[in-house]
Amino acid sequence: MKAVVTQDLTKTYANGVRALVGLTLEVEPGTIFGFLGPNGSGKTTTVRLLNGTLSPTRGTAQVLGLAPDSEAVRLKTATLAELARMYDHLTVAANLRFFARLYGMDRAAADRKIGGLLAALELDGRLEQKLGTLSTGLQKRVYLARTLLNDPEVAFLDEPTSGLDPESALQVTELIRALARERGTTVFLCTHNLPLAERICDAYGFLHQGSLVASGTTEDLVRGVSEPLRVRVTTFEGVHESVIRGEEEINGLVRSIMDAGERVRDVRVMRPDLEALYFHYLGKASR
Amino acid sequence: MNGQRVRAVMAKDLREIGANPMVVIPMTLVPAVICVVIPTVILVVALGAGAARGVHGLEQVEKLIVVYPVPAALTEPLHRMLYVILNYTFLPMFMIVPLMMASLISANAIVGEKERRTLETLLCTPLTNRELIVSKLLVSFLPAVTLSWAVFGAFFLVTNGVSLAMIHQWIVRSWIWLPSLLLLSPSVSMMALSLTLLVSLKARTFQSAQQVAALVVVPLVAVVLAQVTGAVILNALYVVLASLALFAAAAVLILRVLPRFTREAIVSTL
Repeated sequence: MKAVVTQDLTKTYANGVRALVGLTLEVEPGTIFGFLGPNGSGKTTTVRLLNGTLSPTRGTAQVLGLAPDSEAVRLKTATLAELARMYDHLTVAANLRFFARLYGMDRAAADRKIGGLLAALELDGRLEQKLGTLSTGLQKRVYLARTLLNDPEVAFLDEPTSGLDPESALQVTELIRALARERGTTVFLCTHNLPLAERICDAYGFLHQGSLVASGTTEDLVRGVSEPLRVRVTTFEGVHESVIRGEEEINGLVRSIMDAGERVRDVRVMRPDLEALYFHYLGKASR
Repeated sequence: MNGQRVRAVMAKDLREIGANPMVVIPMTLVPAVICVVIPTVILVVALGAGAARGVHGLEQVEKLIVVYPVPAALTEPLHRMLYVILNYTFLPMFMIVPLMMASLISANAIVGEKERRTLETLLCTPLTNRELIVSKLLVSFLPAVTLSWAVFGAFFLVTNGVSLAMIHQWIVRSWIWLPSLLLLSPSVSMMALSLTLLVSLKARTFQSAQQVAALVVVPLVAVVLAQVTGAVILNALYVVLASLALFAAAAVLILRVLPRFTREAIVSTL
């Protein structure tokens, strides 16, 4: 069973704005799916449709095989919305205990869970501090702890690193990676932080003006790029960079360099990185 | 409906209210001034300076207040007047307490959560729409009514303490307070709540929601004026009828608003 399946998912708001158009997507369980796109491209709308806070104008969505607006889905999933906050006037403990109760935990179970999460998120000693007194980075970690309280099978994380300094962003990213790897949680990660997405995501979807312009693993996305490949051949005598039309041309290129009397040390195909792929597909969609 | 989740939201809201000075200060100061300080000052000034120098215009007031059932033990015109003012004229003013408390707490609990961007976090939990609304209504209604009873207790003790000390008579002792506290106060709270709920659908800030909901105070002021001019003579039957009418109006309003209070409607005004 796929973690997330959408078919022609479309959302037009009451004011006529078409936020999402015909999104058809599948997310494999246990993977980190990077949902990438510029501001206003429809990422947050997609998350809200998948966690049942919005209803689609057209099309369908299933999360863990269930309709997103069901209580069962909300019990098995968690959302870290970009702008959503917790209660600044309450302590970290009071905040987390409150959300634990909403997931049906009693006080003892909640305290055990909270203790474990705070230790994992390096928030020991912050339990009795008021949330509003913590730095943005620490608050984000508390939000992440709240997201993990119910051991979600699917976690929707909308810009979890926004507003964080690079070091905190990296820490949060590593925590997300650990969450997916250790707990088998499917992570639906909305972000426009491409370097961080590239560090942890298994597959991607590129969203542009409400439409999905490309999706798949890095290999899938590279295959879709029709531009020529660049190959760098390093020899003991120097470096040769060439443009070829396909990988089948590599052998011929290397042989011609060797025939010229050079000794080959390394051959590297210069694949486009995520940023290059992202701008390639978004640029293509804009044209 | 999951009772644990409803109780959790209520407990959280109460803790939040207690930690928010923007709610706590008006919740304590306004009732204290309206229901304890002002009546006490009226009583002390009237019984002290007023009795010594005589109260001008008392004859006109006497004509007006003869229609009220003043206890025979109060023979002095000034004492009779104070009895009518503190038990009847003051009653609609007293209802500002449950009204204000209900609109203040519910505006904070619903629109305040929107404004502080915490409501979306709640909407992503298993809490159902019904559980959300029921918890928000209960956490506003119960403290509003309880507080109005507590404020009446303080008003009763302070004013009667002063009058017992100065004229050896209980001044606040009309039976009209019984239906007022048991029926009118809860119905006024319900009405304020239903209006706040309606306003909450569109309002984006706590203050705007509270200001619109507080318009319910206008009829109360009208009742006070009508009483002063003699156009309305309050009695227990009117209080019961007004309470029933308010309960019915509030129930209709809540039942009409509830189906519109969906997650989508809330999120679209964030």
